[in-house]
Amino acid sequence: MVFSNKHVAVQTVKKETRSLVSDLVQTLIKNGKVVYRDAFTELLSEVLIVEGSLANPALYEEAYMSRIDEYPFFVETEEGVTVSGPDIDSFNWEGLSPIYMAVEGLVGTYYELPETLYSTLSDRNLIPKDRIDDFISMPMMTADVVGTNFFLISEEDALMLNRYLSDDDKLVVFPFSDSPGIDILAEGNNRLKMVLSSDKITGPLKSKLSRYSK
Amino acid sequence: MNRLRQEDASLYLYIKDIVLSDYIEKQEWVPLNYVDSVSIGDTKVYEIDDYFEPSPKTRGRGLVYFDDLTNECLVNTTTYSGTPEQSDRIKVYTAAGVEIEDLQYVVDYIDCRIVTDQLITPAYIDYHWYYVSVLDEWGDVKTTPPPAIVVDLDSTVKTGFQLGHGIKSIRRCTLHIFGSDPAERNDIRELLHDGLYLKSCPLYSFPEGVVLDSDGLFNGRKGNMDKAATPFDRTTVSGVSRMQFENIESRNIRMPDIISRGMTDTMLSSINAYRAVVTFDVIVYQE
Repeated sequence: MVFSNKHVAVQTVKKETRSLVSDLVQTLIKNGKVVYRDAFTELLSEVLIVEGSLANPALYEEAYMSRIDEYPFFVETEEGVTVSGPDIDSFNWEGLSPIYMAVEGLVGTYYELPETLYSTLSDRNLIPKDRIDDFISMPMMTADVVGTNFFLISEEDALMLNRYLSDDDKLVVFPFSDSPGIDILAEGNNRLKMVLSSDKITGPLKSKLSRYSK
Repeated sequence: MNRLRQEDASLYLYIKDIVLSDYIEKQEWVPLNYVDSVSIGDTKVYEIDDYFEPSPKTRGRGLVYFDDLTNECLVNTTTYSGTPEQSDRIKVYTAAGVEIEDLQYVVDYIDCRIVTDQLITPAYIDYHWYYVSVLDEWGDVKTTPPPAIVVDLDSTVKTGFQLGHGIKSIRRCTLHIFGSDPAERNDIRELLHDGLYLKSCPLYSFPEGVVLDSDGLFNGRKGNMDKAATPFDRTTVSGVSRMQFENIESRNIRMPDIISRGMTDTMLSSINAYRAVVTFDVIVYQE
């Protein structure tokens, strides 16, 4: 099996090997789920997560894996079938903004302000009027997966705001603050390559695959 | 210095001095301010009065320490023993506008200072400085205004490449680009991509250390006023190839799902607003 050195794995299989492809699809889907989940949990488990964080990777794991399942690993063309893994541009990140931030990296320290809490504070007029616009201008993370969107606000604003909040409502730090990117997709693709070239694929499929290896 | 650090420092020099040479800026007739707090006895320190952003004093920038390297031999040979400290990038003048001979002072290239123990009073300076901050730590980015680049040598794979001995080292490298606006971000991204595509750079052994000492002086200049006697040693690591760049890719980073709610400024901060990455493999063959 041949892959490019890019994060995306590519293999073109000729038309006459279509019978091989159906086996390959099943094997990849089966093994692919495992390696992408492993990459997700192992790499993101190294990040310190504060209790109550809406960006806790564990909350997004199943949604992430469902996107992996949806991803078209196989694309049929005139010449045959191309096998490719997801990369940061081709993956569907909708609703997974915090994980996207983790993959791209973020400079600076930010705190999470849940949209629901923000609305409550506005209604109760607890945020100084002259600061409301500052908060509104902050980017909001759409995180449908966890049931509420949230803003990322600066450390300075968070510390100020925490003075108005009860202990239960204190804002927590965004876990991927001030952190370079953690490329879970690239790691998943690398592991997928290893799976495809390992002894986990056996029998007739293994021998057919070896014919197309360089 | 082990191989990884040699490669990291060699790449850093190549990007800062060669690839980004178009981003060296010149300022003329800038006032120098005496800094009493760091002047001791006869040693007097004068600091550049920087009034603009980004300041050349910010991390990853500083004053330019080499003359124009175009057509310069960047590898030591039998007739070339290294690159001397600059002689025409910095000019210091008295209040009357008379140029002060460079034997009368040394330059702190990091903090942008002139240090002298002579009976002179520097008042103005012409200088070249690095407009783009080049950093080797992600954590330093928030301490400096854009544009900035973080050089990140990441994973390493080593394999054989021939019968018998021989090692092929492949290191995945990422250049994180932080621009001031989309145009600047795109310019730097393209410049870096082109500066790496089908290119290679020498792998230096740094027998005398890197170009600047920790105090910002050119390596070997402390207590030595003779620039010609202390060139930067461009000896390369023996038995290995140059550092070759392959599989170069670049792309912009767009933060998704940012809802403006009617406001125009929706970015996390200016440093996160206009980002891009250039990724590539650094290949070195060792016999």
